[in-house]
Amino acid sequence: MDIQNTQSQMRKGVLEFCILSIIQKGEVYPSDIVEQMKAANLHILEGTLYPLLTRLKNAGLLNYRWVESVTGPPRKYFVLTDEGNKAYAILLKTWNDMAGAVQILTINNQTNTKDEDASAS
Amino acid sequence: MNKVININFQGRILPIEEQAYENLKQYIASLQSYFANEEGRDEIINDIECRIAELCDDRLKKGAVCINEHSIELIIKSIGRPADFEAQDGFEQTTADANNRNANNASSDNSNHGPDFGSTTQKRLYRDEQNKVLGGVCSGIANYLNLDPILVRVLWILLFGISFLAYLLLWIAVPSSSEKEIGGVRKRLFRDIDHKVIGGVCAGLSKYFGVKVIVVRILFLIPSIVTTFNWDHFHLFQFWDFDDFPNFFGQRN
Repeated sequence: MDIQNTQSQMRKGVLEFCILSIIQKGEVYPSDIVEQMKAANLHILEGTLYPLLTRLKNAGLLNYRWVESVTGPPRKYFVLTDEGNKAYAILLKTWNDMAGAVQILTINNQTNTKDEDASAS
Repeated sequence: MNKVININFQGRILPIEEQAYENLKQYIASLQSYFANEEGRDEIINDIECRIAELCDDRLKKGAVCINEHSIELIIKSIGRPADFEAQDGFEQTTADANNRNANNASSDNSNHGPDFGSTTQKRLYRDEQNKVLGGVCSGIANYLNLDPILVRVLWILLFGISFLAYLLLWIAVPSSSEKEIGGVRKRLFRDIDHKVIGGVCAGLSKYFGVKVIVVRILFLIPSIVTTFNWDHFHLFQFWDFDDFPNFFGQRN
């Protein structure tokens, strides 16, 4: 089993949900999204974010407006559409259900493997 | 003392070192190739370019005279290369991941961007252009099998003799490790007039493959010399029946 592949799949799975969560809090521009992800200890490359935002926008979950900046090039500020909000609500429930399930399954292992967790990535 | 040029990038004038500009162009090209089939490709590329322009602007405002190679390298690193998107699912490689990956891929190559930096699912065969003698074929195989390159070269010669054909086949078919790093931008083949003896063909080929000119010239000359001494060495005329020669020209017996 390629553990790195599994880890990578786990991260990929929550990526869109995380992005939607950030935008749901309020209007943001892409580099701000990267900053917030970093603050939450989830490091994403901007080169991955832009295609993802475009895909979500084309799927109708996001909208953006251009904001002119005195100091630099104009920026895209993203918000969730109604569809986006609905999708976010569904994913939030999915996440809570899944996290709850995983929590139940691993609760007995948590104390035993605490040391192992600390050294793994 | 590096040449600096001005470019019109996303509607603003950017003073940038010539080499940095070349690197930036190559990077954008690699992105265009990576996103070739993506819906909204133009928008994505545009967003990334805007971001690059913004980062360059920051640097200039902070007092940099121009954008140099180092700045471009940092900018590209922070946005990510196509190889990073594929290999790490778009997430920055944390140092813990990097250590795990390097530990798991014990390899004999000493190049920075060896093939084992690549996909997480399957190890692919690449030519190792950092450790090559000719085309890096044996080096690439050595990396793939975790053997010493010298061993592979000796085995190759024992197996295939001086037969160049198998080697040439792999040289053409197997992608270069440098493609993964830069992003698949292909070099173009030109005749090199500056270093020509006759027409610059061999010089141009040597530049393209990164092989010494003298090697290319010898490779070209060998068939010519052989043919001079033995007309039919390559069996080009084996289907001609020379007894029929008079008939070719319509003479009757």
